[in-house]
Formats: sequence, C-alpha cells, structure tokens
Amino acid sequence: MQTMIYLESISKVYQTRNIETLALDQISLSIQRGEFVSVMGPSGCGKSTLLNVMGLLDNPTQGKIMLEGIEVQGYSDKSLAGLRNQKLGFVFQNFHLIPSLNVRDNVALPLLYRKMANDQRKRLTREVLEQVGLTHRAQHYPSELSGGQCQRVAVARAVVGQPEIILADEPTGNLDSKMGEDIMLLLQSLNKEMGTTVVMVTHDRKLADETRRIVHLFDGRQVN
Amino acid sequence: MKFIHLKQIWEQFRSNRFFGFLSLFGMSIPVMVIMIMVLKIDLSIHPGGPERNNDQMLFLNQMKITRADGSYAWGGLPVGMIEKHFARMAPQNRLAFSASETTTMFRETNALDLSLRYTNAGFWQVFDFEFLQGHPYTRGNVKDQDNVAVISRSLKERLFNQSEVAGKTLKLDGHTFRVIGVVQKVNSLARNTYAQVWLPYTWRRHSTTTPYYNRTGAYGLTFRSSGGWGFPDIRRQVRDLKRKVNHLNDEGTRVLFAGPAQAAEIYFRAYRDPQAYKGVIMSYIGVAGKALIILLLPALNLVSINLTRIQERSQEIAIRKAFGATRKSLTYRIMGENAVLTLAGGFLGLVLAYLAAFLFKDQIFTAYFVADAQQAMIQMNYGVFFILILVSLIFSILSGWIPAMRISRLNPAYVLKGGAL
Repeated sequence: MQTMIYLESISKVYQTRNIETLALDQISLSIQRGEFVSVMGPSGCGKSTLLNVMGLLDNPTQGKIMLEGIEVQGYSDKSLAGLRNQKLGFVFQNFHLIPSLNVRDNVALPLLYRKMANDQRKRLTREVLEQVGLTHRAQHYPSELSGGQCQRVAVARAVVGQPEIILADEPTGNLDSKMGEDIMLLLQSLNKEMGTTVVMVTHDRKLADETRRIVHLFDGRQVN
Repeated sequence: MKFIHLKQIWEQFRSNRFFGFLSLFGMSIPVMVIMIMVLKIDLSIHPGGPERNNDQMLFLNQMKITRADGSYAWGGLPVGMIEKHFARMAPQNRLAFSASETTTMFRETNALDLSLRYTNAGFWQVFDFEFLQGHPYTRGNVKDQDNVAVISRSLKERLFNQSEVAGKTLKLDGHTFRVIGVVQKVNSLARNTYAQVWLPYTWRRHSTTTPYYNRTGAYGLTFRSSGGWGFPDIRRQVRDLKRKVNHLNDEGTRVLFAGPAQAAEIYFRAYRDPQAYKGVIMSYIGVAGKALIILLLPALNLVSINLTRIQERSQEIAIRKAFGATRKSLTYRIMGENAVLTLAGGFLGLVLAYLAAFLFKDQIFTAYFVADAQQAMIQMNYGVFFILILVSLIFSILSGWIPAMRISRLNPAYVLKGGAL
C-alpha cells in the first residue's frame, strides 16, 4: 500500500512576544492511500494544527512532511498552492464558504485555479452537486442554506477537484446528529467508492469508531 | 481575466455595495471634475468650427486706458482706431475685426432673440467658415454699407425652412437685409466668431470713424499669420502702433493692449494676476498638477478601502489560498478588482461629466462671457480621458500593492482559526 502522507518528527511552536507554545511535539505518522483516519484528543491538543500542517496550510517548526513520497519542505508558494489544489481537499468545522458566492461558484472554487475549460468546470460542478444532493440549491447563497446543506457544499467543494486526500476538521462539529450522520456517510462513500484518503479531526468517539484508525493526541503528542 | 473572475468581482461588489459605491464614486467624481475642467479649457482654447486654425492666429480683444487722474477703463477697441491704424498695418485678408451684440427680431407674433456680429470683409478670410449656401460679403459691400447678411444654418432653418435662401430678406432693427450666405452653425463658445447673423460692421449703431484714443470700444481683432508675416512681426507692429497711439494721446493718457496673444495665453491670463502669469506651458503643467492632485484623492481612498476590505475579506482569501490560490493570483485578483472598479468609475465619471456639462452649461461657461452658453456644443476631450483612465489605472494598480503585500503574508491556517490579518 502506498504511503500518502508521511510525517516525521513534526513539531510546531507558536511564538508570541513572551510566550512560546508547543502545539505539536515530535509527531511521526504515516497515512496510507485509501485509509480513513480520525484524529482525536481534547481541545487544544494540536489536532487542527496537525491537520493544517498535513494540508500544507501551515509550516512545521521542525520535521519532515512527505506527500506521496515527495518531501515538500522548501517548496515555493506556487508549488504548495498547486499541491493543495490538485491533491488536497479541505472541509472545515465552520464550513468556510465564501458568502458573496452562490453554491455553484463556491463549489467551483478549486477549479478556478486550474487550467480548465468552462464547460468542463461546469460539468464537474454539476456532477458533484448531484452527488451531494444540492443541484436545486446551486443558485442559492450560503446564508440561504441550513448548516447541513452548508457542510454538504463544503464537502462538494473539497471533492470537486477529485483530490486524493480529504482533510476534514470536525466536519460534523456544528451539525445536529442527523446532519452529522449524513456528512459522515458522504465521507465514507468517498473513501470507499472513490478510494479517497480521508483524515478527519473529531471529538465524537462514535464517529471515530467508524473510521479505520484513530490517532490520539494529547498536549501535542501522539499517545496511541 | 476570465468571465467567471469578472462575475466574482461583480458578486463581491454586490455583497458589499457600500464599499463598492464608495470606490466607484470616489473615482467617478474626480474624473467628472477633471473632465469638466478640461472641457472648459479645451473649448475655450480650441472651440473648433471657424476657429479651428486658431493656432495661426493672434487675438487682441481688450485694451486698457489709464488717464492722468488715475482713472482707468477696460474694454474692446474703438472702430476708429482700428480703421486708422490696425487696418493699415495688416494685409487685408489677414486682419479680422468684429463686435457682437444681441437684438430682438419680431416675426409676425413671435419675438426672436438673436446674436449679431458686425465684421469687416477680412473676417471671412481670416476664419474658416463653412458656407452651405451663397457667399460672404465683400469689402465693397462693407464700404458701401450694403444691406447684406450672412446667417447660420440653424437660423435659416428656423426662418425660411427651405433649402435656398436666394432672394430672402430679414428685418433687423428697422432695416431690411438681403441674405447672401448661409454658414454651418458655430459653437457659442467660439468667442471670436459666434453669431446667428453676421453683418458689415458699417451697419453697427454708433459706429464712427473718430479714432477715440482715449476711450474703449466694442471691437476685437484677430490677426492670422502667414509665411511672410509671423507672430513676432505682428507683435512688433502692435508695439509700434501702441507707441504711436500713445504719442497722439492726451498728456497722461496711456493705452495698453491686452495682446496680441494666442487663445491659450488669453485663457490662462484671464483669471490670473498678469504678474504671476508664467506662460502657456507652465499653465498647462499647473492644470496637469491640479488634475494629479484631484486623482490622488481616489487613489488614497482606494488604498484605505482596500486595506479595510482585505481585513474583512481575510477569511475569503484564506479559503482561496487553501484551495489553491497562489500569492500571485491573489495579488492579480485584488489589482484586477481595482482596475475594473477604476475603469467602471472612470466611464461613469465621463457620463456624469456629460450630464453636468449639459445640465449646468450656464454655470460652467458663463464666466467666459459667452453670449449663449445654452447653445454651446459640448465635445469631450477623449485624449485627456484616455490619459486620465491610464493614470487612474496606474494609481489603482499601485494602490492594490499594499493590500496585496499583506495578502502574500497571510497565513491561511491562522486566519481560518479565527485570527485577524
């Protein structure tokens, strides 16, 4: 099985004028292609930081990150942006949809940063909206949607570019249990049917149990 | 820029109308002000029509007389002085002089206010009138005080409403004139030529051949240079003539001519202290400097709006970064948004300038002693508009730099966690 994400001795220190906070401490982790991994731990233990480092949204203070066997440290802004665009898809707890764009344009966002014909972009967007059952909401704005619908839009945006990895930061955290289940089913189907690697941060033990592996963090350290 | 980017800029504008309109009007109002400023200057210096070749002309429209008792008077030139001195210094077809007046013509039950201009015969050679019918009056017509008139096309259409005017007459101030020519309508901002009826100056009431060295008159002079008679020759001859006139004058009475000068010199000198007048080029540089300062305001406004908007949009920008936007693409995006807003603001400014020019013609042009400001033919200077848009674009693109620099430093993870930019 191919290693999709490989982290070696990753540390992340947040430095303010007077305080130094160690958010991640010597984390080493390997995630295989097609795995569904959940990351658990108490608030402030570094789960989101770990996800951000994996997603190349934040640089580690120390350590090595490899994506599909390629070390990405030292990559230029353009190359990192390219990797995020092609390989990674993000789902955030607060959805993070762009309020000024309608559902269709929010979903199409990652495709804007690819060289792609309009027709193809429209087709992919339409298909993924069908997949998450939101075709009828394509012209609506995020403010006109329920929380569950917003998160489905966020999932659609994460998968529209057919990334190999989805990084979901508490994707059900702001949803009721029914909506949370829907989103979980959506992520599971992506993992099973498309073979997409999913890394999900969650507080919910029940959801974590449905994944193939659980990584536990405590005070920035891995405590498996 | 892809259509979808334009669409997203529109969505951005729509979602924050306040900032959008602030930017749009911040740009369009300075553009409007500058275009009106340029319009005033442009039409005053280059009114076109018969005066389209005024770069070959020198104008002498005013003189000042100071008397021994300290009193003084400003006014036009007296016809006697022109006939006795100026008419002899210039080649006959190179000197025009005229005086304008208004009158009321009564036709059946209608009263029609008309602008008249009394001219010499050289007037028709100095200025480039477009004759649609007939011909101008001659020196003989002027000398013999023949009842002949040239009228404008608009007056012809109003009075006769038919294609030929041969044999038609019009009655002005108790005299009947035979219409011998019809010319294309003249812009009322063409101060040296505008009228609806042109008549031989010998018809002007109170006209006299007495030189009147110590009084002002009603006439303005135009000299058209030629290969053998250039501006320096004309200026020198007028200086000599002034000396001669002052020699003939009463003791202590002095004549000072406000010219001869080119149209631009007259325009820029009119509202300035003559002592402070630095010449046409410096005046143009002054106008460009004023325009630049006016344009700087929206540029600074854009910088400040951009900084505030970036603060507001930091989350959107972090999301875009998370999904693959590069620093460069975000920088281009911010600058593109600015450029689109600037262009839209610029064109809106042009539309507003047209509207203002039409609605406030009197207020804009009255200060130029124009007889019929309402008749002014507005022609915007698109060359200046192009430069304006270009300079605005440069400003707006530069104003996008500072926010773009901040964007390039943005840490998406930090912002998405709720941190401020």
